[in-house]
Amino acid sequence: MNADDPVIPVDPQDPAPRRRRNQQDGARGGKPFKFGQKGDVREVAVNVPPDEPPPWQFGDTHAVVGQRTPRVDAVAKVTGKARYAYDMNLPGMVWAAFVRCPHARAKVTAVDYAEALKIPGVLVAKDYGSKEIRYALQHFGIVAAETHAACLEAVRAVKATFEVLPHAARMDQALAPDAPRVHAERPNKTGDDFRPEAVAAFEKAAQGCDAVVSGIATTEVQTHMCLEPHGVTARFEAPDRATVWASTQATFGARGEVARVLKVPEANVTVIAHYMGGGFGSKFSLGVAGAAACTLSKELGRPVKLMLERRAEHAQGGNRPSSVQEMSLGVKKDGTLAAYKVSKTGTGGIGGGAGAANPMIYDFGEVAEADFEVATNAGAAAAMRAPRHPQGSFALETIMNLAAEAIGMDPLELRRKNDKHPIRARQYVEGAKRFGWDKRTPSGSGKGPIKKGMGVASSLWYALGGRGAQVLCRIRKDGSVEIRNGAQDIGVGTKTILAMVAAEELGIPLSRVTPFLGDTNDPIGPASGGSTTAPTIMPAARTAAFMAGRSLREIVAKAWNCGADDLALGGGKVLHLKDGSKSMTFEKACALMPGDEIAELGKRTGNYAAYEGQTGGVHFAEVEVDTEDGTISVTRYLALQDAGTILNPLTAESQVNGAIVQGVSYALFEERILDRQLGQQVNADMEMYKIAGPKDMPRAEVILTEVVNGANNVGVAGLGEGPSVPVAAAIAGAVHNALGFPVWSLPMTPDRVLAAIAAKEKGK
Amino acid sequence: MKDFTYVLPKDAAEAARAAAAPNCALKGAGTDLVDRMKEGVTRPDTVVNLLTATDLRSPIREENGRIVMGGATTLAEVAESALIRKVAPGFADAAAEAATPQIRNRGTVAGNLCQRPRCWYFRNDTYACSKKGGETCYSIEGENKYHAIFENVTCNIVHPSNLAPILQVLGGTLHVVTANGTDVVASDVAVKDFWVRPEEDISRENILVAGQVVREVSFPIPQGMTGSSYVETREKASFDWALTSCAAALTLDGGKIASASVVLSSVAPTPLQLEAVEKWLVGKAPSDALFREAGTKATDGATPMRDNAYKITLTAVVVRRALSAAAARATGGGK
Amino acid sequence: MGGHAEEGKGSVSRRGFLKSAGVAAAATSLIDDAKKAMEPVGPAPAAAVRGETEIRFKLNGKETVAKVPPSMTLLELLRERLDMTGTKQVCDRGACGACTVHLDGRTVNSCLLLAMDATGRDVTTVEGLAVGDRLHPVQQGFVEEDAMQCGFCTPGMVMSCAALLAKNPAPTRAECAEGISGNICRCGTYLNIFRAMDRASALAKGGK
Repeated sequence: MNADDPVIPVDPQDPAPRRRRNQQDGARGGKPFKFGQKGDVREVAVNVPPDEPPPWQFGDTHAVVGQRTPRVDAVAKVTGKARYAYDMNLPGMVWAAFVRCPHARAKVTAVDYAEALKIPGVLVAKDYGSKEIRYALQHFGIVAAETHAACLEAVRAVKATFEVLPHAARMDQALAPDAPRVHAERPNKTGDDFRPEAVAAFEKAAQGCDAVVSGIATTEVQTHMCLEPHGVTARFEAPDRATVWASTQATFGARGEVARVLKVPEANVTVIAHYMGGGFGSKFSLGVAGAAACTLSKELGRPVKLMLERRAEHAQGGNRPSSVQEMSLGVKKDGTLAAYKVSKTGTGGIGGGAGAANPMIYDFGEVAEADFEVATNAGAAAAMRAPRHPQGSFALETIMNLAAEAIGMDPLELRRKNDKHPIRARQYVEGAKRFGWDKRTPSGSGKGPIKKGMGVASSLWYALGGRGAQVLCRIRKDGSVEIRNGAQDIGVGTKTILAMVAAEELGIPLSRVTPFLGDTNDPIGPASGGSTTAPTIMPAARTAAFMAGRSLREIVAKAWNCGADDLALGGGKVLHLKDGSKSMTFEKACALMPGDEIAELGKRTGNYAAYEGQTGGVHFAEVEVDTEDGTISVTRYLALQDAGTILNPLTAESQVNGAIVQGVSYALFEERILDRQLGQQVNADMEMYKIAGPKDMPRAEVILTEVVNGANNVGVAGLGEGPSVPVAAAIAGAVHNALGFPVWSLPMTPDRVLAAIAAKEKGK
Repeated sequence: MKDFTYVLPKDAAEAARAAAAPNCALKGAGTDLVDRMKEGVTRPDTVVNLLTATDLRSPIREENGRIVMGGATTLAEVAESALIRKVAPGFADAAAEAATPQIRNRGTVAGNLCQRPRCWYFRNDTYACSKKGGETCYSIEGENKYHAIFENVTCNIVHPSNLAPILQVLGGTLHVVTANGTDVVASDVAVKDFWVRPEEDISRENILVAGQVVREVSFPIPQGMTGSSYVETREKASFDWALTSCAAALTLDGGKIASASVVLSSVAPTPLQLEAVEKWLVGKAPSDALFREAGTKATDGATPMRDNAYKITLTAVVVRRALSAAAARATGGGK
Repeated sequence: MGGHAEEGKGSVSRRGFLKSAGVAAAATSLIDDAKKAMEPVGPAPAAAVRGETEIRFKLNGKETVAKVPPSMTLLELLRERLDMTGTKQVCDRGACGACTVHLDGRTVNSCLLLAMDATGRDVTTVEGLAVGDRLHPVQQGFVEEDAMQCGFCTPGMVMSCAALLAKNPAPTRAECAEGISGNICRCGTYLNIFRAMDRASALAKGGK
């Protein structure tokens, strides 16, 4: 991973240091460019670095960019031809699998591999990993066999004995007074308590408020449940080379890890991820499976495939931490938010990384925050689309709704009043109109057992990409174009926009350009994290295409005896800007090449002073709550989302749709349930771990807000995180509106909804 | 999955003889059995493939006032059967709501009735639970959100079959063949007598023993102003297991309930016939208020555990909804 | 879920429910009825098989011979012996639909189908849907409406949609949702799949 591009903002509340590092140090003497959005266009001075094309600015039109374009690998995906790491069948390949402990905390005291080794086809059955078990399904052994079936039978045949120790798999267990320590060196609960002066300031400000509302929001652990599990097919090539087909979101990070594991030069390692079956933040490293497969491949001298089995994918594949967020919010009658106090506690298992991004977005006045992490004997958390944010957003927007009710203000108005972001300011107005917010009825006013409601929640993200990518553009004598980067397309359509940017810059049809991603023999690219892939790669791609096109223009200029700057590329032609009678097709121009090809390497430079450093979004949800059986149906959804320059509206909308679908799932269904006895996840499958299906879907609309952010020569922003932030919150707001009171716990399953209704009736 | 001897019988009689083998499993579609074999919860030496037994594939048909079908009739065939839709729509609904399209295309009627419970402790081979011959029912102290709220004493599974409650209210019969050495005898068993409570034998959920095969399933065609229904609650609208489910059949006469059959499922180790509620309903005029009260009565005697008290509310809801739907079908001239 | 499986425990029922009757008499009337509607199912009846056994079936229109042990699923056969990896292994328990193939035109979970049970049957996988370079209308609809992200659920989704379209040339959104309710997508492409099905339906009509 490049240091400039941390996967998760180090501190999402204050991304400024990173922005400063990436940004130009002022742009004295720079040329003015128009950046912004409809109704708010600003002139910003930019020193365009040498070799870079000038940034796209407000009012520019494009030929390829902005067109709804089916992804370039769509046919491979719908015909089954796309080959993933899991699909590699190499000659002589061996299957491997881990042997695991069913207890959450234990010592492996004895292991007998004899029966496993007797199974025909079994090559290896031995210890691998620590014998100190700290979470259920942690591995301590490994087997390898000629077939997948033999491998799984061998795992079953291993006889192990354990000294079972008291565990704290669940957060309630870890917080009990006599809880065993998860990490010997520190208490289970660690973190930062309130600063007394912040609490004092909060209390003073709260006294000046007309209402102080409070509540405790809880969210459960959600697992990533990538359809393609974590794992690789690894081939060690003696004496010192390796090729690894990895299900990864960080080909270059994985390459370094492979080199370290195998003790071979990084240059001798190729990591391939032409296709990968879902990561969502959980596949940044080679992982335990990848390291084991590489090691075994070296030992056996044969290719090894090791993919986590489904149950282990829940335990070892990462998860979004849980949260308990206790909040008090002071508000004045005019909607001014003046005082906010929040204490957050959550668990990321043995790995840490819990916490909730709360507060954010709104100006709360005096803020007092406490943030605690509880270590538990459970699988480690990993980044998951907008880490810390969906849980923070759910709590924050819920308390906002309560505050609005307390002062009798429309919840959308309260948000508008306290949110000065220029993009969201526009989205509140446009969204309300589009969604029919004026038809929202007062909370809890519905009659009959099925109650309707509407909710709204806001989104932000911080990343506009940065240094850390190089892209190779190659124009061949036959007029074909290659555009190459070694990073991965994790399914969001990166490969397609890569080709689109090159085609746009070279003024040729998309069909002429072949994009390559997912092979570390191509130039370096970022890990796909924090919504940085597109904004990091695309400016370098545009630069590479610009440079290659410039070389082509120079060749033609020589033939026409003019300057290269007198020529432009467009409409599949080389055009003379001053002499309209002169033009040449792109192919003919290429044929003039003295050599076989032009190849240029475009480099990603730092960001310019952008129109806005953060992207914005506003989401609206409508629900029907069946107050008899406790089910919630999300009936309508509208997402207004900014992602800077929209390179491909088709795939951009898909990514927002995906965030909505995942958000519905998080809001209504998903919950890792850990058994308090052995500490295992009892629903570690795909039916009792409930993921939203097609019948749980709302009618949804996505509006991509057009913003020319000018952060770089392309101005695209990622969509991995932003649209994932507010979905559960918007749905929860709609449920609140339907019922007249909030359901404070996610997922809002029937048991929780019915309990909330019963508690409310009891309180009457 | 452990390797096994695969027996391919020509008919139910051959299947029954083969099924007398030690550590033998019967397989219809295999959608449940193969799942358990992969989990290592079931490791048979012999598997008898009932799909090659032609008499288990006898078509859905009307015969002497009954609807009869082979045990290996698929759920999709039931759901799509115009005959069943006409005479017992509740049965078609139950089949159509089961599992997924893929499973319904394979899964069989007899298999649906005989499938093993979904309890997450039972289905995990690392838990030596009492149903698997161990000492403890882990759901008592453990995670019991989806477990039984009735008859939850020894083992707290809930019966997972969609078809069980509806077949029971329809007065269904299982036509079983039994191998006794080389002799094979046929016998009938009422669906209501098919179930085994954990207190009787914790290792199984029905009375079938080694050497027995369900060859066909049948039920009498409902007469008069009778309506039947199957209703369930669940978390997801897409494929999910029922939290509570209820099948009901009501016969109306002169605006009054002449007879009622109500069976709850997904709330106890076996389908539960609500005899007290049925008696209470007879002679009364159907109404929403009546069915609401019936729903409340249906929850009498519930013994919820730490995490599943919400199922009491959902029991009342399914009973009321099932009775309302059955009454609507009865008065609508439908079935 | 409908599995027909009950292990005999060797114990004797405590309830004396059996009303014995001669099985021959009972069976005769049934067999005639049965013959009418019965198609051959599964391998030709034989006493028993164990170990690697030859099976024959039609795979994407081609007669195929393979040797499999009884414990091998069709999914394993496809992916691990025939190198047909379009069909995906995800939950491996019939809950996610990624392994969906057509068995005589109907969708099934190949992860739960013993390969031997495909004997004599017609199996279509995602690799067999397009005719040469001409995509199936469902595939074309998926491409145009971007009904995929990571693509790992896509083959199964395509197979469920193709089976639905064959049965119902113009499914409503609700029918489409029901048709793919045995398939899980983690990236969240359901909304695009609904649009893709509308597109496929239009393409199929136009194409005929």
